[in-house]
Amino acid sequence: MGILDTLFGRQKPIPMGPERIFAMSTAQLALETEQQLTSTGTAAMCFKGIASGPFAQIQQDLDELFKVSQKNDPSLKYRAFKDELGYSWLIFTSQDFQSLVTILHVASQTLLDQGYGSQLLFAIFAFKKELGGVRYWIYNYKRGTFFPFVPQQDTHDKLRRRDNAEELRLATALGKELPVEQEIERWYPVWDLPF
Amino acid sequence: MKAFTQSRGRPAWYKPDTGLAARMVLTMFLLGAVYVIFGAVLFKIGVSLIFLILIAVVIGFVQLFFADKIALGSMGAKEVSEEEAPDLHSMIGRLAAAADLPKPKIAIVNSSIPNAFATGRDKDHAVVAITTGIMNQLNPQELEAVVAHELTHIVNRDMLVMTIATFFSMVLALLMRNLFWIGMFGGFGGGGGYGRGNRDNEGGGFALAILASLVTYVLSFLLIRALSRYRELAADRGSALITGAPSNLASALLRISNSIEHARIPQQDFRQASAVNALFIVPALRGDSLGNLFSTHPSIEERVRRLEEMQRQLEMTGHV
Repeated sequence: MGILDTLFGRQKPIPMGPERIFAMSTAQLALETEQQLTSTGTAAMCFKGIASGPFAQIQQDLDELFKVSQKNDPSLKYRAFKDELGYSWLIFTSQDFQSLVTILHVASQTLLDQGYGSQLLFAIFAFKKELGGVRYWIYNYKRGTFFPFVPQQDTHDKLRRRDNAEELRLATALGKELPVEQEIERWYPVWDLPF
Repeated sequence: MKAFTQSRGRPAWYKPDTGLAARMVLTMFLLGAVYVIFGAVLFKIGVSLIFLILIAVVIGFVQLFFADKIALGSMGAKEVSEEEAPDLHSMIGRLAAAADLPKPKIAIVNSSIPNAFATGRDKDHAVVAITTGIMNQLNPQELEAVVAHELTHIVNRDMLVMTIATFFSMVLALLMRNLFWIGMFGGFGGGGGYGRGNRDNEGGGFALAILASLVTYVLSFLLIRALSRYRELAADRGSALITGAPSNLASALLRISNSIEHARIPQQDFRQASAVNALFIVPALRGDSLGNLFSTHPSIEERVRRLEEMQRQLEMTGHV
């Protein structure tokens, strides 16, 4: 971000949608070797309530896609969840991180193709530190950017304390590998994660 | 992780900011030049500054020698002993050791406004004061980074530097007040002793002196502000060096900054925020304003940007 970028705002239109999720598959190596962060084996996507009729249809499509993916990665599992704020979740688990990224992309693309692109809110990847503690990377579909989220305790912390210093550190450390959200006021946390 | 390669006792990630140093030297040079030119103009007109300089020297010394007491008194800061605040003392003691300073006196200001300051003419008479507000808002690492910033002000002798830099500005302020009165007397009390032509000449001289003082005052004001901003950036760098974690200070700055004026990492949940703020179209209005020219501190955005840059260097050289 140069001075000109700040003065004139963003110069290049940022592609929206799930395309840049794939950046995470290469960033994983840097996360593991440089940050000692390994995937917890879980990743999820969150979207705004889609009426139950159309959603049943979508779920059928997803089930079919899922069966195909499961042939390549038998450890892959998924479940749907509706949170108390009325948002829908698809929660994936797998021992293979690359297949997590792929299935997230495929599922997001399916929703996008069905015309629910604007309903997509974010995707989230969970990593654990060897010495304990969890770090999250959240992907914003509307902006095509990632940002870190580090709760001081966990995401169920009543006081909702986040470790901003660690987040800023992670963001600069991964600046090369990931399209990191430059406007920190958009680093919205996600509390009470359903996984 | 590979150990930092050391060069002259500094970690490899800590690259000296030659741009910052150059700008600081240039500012000091310009400030000196402005004062010298002003002195030359006054000399030419024939106004003697000796008396005013003497007054200013006295004020300057009082400022320097009683700065700690004046600042603490005006802020309502209360010095706390080791028994009263053992954690604070041990934290600041540790940082002072890291910065190779004797442990400064520690004071607490009972105020909810998050702030911290350091004062004192040298490292043996230094005081670090922090408000209860900043202690409540920051976590221990962030508070440490803020204290390290204040300790760097002591290491860099910023109190002394700024007193010297503002010294002539103070002379000018005195002079302008006095010139005004002298000018008034010159205007009203005409007659006695001087010939007509002589008096006109003198009036023109006063006008020129007032003009020169004004111009010098404005220029020195801007330069002093610039110098102060550079010293702040230098203190930020010092804090990063002492704590070894630039992002801690960045995080502290963002947290204590006014959320309306500055961008902050939000607390609000993504889902709740998206309900209110569904249209991510208009980019947040930001950018440096002209107001920066007049402020003693650089903008939070610039300070955070520079700290992030240091963090990036640290990440790049700190690991294989």
